Amino acid sequence: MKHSSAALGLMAALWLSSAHAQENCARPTPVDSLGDIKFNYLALKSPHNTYAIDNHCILINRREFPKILSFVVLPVGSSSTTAALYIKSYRTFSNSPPYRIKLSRGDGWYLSDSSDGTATAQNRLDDKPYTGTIQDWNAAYSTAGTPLDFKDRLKIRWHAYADDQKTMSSTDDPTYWTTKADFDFSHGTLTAYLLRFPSNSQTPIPFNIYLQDEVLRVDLILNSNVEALAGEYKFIIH
Amino acid sequence: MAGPIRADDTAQDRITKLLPADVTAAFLSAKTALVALFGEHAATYVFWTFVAILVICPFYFWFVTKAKNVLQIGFLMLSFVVFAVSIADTQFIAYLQKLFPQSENLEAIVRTTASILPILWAFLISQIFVAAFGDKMAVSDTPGPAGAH
Repeated sequence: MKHSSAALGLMAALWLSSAHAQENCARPTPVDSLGDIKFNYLALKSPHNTYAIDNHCILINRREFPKILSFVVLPVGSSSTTAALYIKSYRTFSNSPPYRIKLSRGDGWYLSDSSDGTATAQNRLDDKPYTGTIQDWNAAYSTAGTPLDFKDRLKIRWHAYADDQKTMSSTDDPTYWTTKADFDFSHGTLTAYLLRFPSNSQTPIPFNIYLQDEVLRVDLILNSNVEALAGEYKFIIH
Repeated sequence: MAGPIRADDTAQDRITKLLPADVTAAFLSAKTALVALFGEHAATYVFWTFVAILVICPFYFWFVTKAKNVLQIGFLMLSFVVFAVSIADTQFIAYLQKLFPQSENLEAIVRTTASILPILWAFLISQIFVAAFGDKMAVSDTPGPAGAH
């Protein structure tokens, strides 16, 4: 019995390693400091080390990242003064997580729901659950709208403007926010983030993805008005 | 500087001649320049610069510093490896884990080696090596008889 379990485990390990090899998965590249990263815009920090994300499929060692993936978006040159970063993180769990969709928002976002239309700065939002269904969520994005429209549709004050002049809205491309058709929400959670920062800033911008013990994989999709800040990444946790 | 160990050298002099500050400094400069140039892609260049310096080392020690004892040259090369791993542990890990992506402990092994081994090497292993082999490596300064070839 013991031997058959060991053989099965070995076969599973070999299958996993060959699957990763086929996908060209690699470990994140360690660097001495964030300043050493010159050709990528995404970095990962562990309690002890810093890594450049320079591959689209990354193998993550849980011992190095036990509870959290602390990402850092590095400064990139841009002609626009404000950078808005829209992030979708699909976490696949070994069990069924309590929430299907969660929402986060950083500092510097504006919304106007006063009669005079004045935009007011919004508070941060950290991992707030969306209580509707996946169907409700996707239906809300079937038509265009302002952040105020989406506040009514989603029943949550999350979408906003990246500037107080209300020229850049997180709802400019509503189809971006619809969920992946092939994602298994019975074993997964989508966390959506709104990040906003001055695009000429030299300060790295942090965001975190929580890595519960049951998380097996994270699919990260980034979109931005700054073209260099867009990309898709897969993180395999082992 | 890794010159020849002489019979009248003190133990401290002998230890100094077993720690190759010159080639280590050359590697440190090269690593800094390569990281500045190639950023996170510098690992391959740094690793092969290390290999190149290591290959050149015996010729450098033999012809330039005039250290002509095989034991001393061997120890100097090992010393260079120890200090190079300490200087460029991050780049070595980055390069080696591209070769062995499934190796889970590689980073921990290299980081631990890079932080502990240089201290042991400089303060313990070198001393033991000098005590054990110092006299075998020493060359005599006594001039030979006139006209001797």
